[in-house]
Amino acid sequence: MPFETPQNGNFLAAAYIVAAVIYLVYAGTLVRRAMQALRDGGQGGGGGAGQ
Amino acid sequence: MTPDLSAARRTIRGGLALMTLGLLAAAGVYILALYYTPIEARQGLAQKIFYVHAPAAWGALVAFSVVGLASILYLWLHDERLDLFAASSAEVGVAFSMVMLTTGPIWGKTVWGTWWTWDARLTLTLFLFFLFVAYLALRAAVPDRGERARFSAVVGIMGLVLVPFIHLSVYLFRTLHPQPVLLKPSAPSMPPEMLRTLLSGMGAFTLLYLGFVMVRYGIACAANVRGGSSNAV
Repeated sequence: MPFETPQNGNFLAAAYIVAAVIYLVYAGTLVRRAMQALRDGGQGGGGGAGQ
Repeated sequence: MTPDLSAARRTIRGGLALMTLGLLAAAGVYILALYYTPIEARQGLAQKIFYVHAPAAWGALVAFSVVGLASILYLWLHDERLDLFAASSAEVGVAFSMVMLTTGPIWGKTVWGTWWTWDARLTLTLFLFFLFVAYLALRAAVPDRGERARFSAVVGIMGLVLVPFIHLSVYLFRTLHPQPVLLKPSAPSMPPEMLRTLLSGMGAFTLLYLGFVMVRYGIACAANVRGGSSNAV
């Protein structure tokens, strides 16, 4: 029996956008924390490092 | 043994480079999936969610397996670096799980007609996600480093025990979730274009996992060296 290919590109777009947002937000968070860790290390460590 | 600050900074810098490569590779997988792979006739464009969903699941299960293995080694060797590495991998695994648990229902709605079903594969995966969210909460709640490392190692090992059950759940139970197309005893069951894109996705997201873990581990080591405890979770 013939069938029609469903038109569901909006689901694909939603999934790709959600995945990209999660990865990019997490990467951004890591970059921010990494920069803070590198900066604190450059100042010889100390206060705020544990925050 | 405890990590030193210069090693932590080197790890962070290396991790940032690897993470950038991983993100670029992931963008390449998006392009491959959209323009190179054919449109599956019965599922339509939504089938291409597979190229993001399956590598995210792979990344999550690798991350949680690494947590379990590092936890076993920590309980054996009492090397603080293993505890920090396990915690870093757990956090990255939670991020990958979030992608898996959001893209899966979007795909499921188009092919199954429902966002979610309480079958074995999906339920166990959700349970694993909650287990590692609890793992991170536990680490944030216990101030003593030794106790925190021991308690969380036990939870991490419990997570490792769950991983093979999740992979085999599609064979052990009746489930809507499709059986593996790649990690199975017989040859991969998909057209070559799809297989190449899937393998590229696995490679790209493994690279991204390594980058994330290296950066996170470097941050944890740096905080640990400077005597902070909360950021070293």
